[in-house]
Amino acid sequence: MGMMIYGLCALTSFLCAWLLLQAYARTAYKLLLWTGMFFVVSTVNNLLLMIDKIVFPVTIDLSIPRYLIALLALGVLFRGLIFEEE
Amino acid sequence: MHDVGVFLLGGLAMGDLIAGLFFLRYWIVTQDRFFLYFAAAFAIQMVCRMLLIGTTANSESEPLVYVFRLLSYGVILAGIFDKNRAKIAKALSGPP
Amino acid sequence: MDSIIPPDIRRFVLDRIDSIAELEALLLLRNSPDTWWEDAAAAQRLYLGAEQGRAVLIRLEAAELLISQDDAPGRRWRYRPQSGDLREMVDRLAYYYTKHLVPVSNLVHDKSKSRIKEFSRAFEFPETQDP
Repeated sequence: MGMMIYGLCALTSFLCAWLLLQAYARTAYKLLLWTGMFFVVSTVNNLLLMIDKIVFPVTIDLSIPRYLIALLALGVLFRGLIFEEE
Repeated sequence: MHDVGVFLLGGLAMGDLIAGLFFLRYWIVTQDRFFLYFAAAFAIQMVCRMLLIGTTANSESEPLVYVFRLLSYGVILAGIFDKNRAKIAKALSGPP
Repeated sequence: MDSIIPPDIRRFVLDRIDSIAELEALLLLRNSPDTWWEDAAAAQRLYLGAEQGRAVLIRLEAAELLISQDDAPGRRWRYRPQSGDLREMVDRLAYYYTKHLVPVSNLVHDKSKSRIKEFSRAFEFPETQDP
């Protein structure tokens, strides 16, 4: 059950990353690059979540690294939203 | 260590709020409903992170909290589906 | 409409051309590549005030497409892309501007409008082709 939830989250963020980065390749609008990268990092975050909760639920606690990566994702997103849009 | 986690979650919740507000603004400016889905997704993410702050002590209920995360991504998928409704309907009804 | 202009030309325009005035200035100087243009003369040909004309030329120089020399009291300018690749880009851009004026103009104009609609468009599935 948990695996399904986390897996679906990872798949969705991967889909978003894919669509945005494809569009960036077509149009060269940097906003699409940064928002695409936000979803790339979010996908990594979701995969780490799966590893944290399902593969090593007790032995390792990856929450702090995950939160830092999530902060990185938001940083990338803000870089795009604040600086790349007129 | 627990406090660091709570602190980071607080920062993330704040970040989700700001991102949500950006997308809310884009919806107002462009009148494109698609942005509203993203605004909602980030708002739900924010709630998720706030709930996580409450549950870091009690990890039993954490999977429930992550249902919110699923809901957040589900809203994004709904937005994508909504945007492509016509094309999907056309594809499903088959070529003439 | 979007796909008429090749991606590398789009990228070139998005990176180095900020306005139609700049595009016109670039092509004006390109048409007489061995001529040094004075600030005032170029601005006049482009129907710009002296200040605006100067600003356009300065930005094009910063984009490595022109060079300038001191020519008291002002400067003089000449078409000189800093690399063969840039030269080729400008040549191709000139071609597209003459053959497809509207898409190129739109590309430049869109820079000053909000780009956020592109985020929304990125999620549109491609049109399914009818067999």
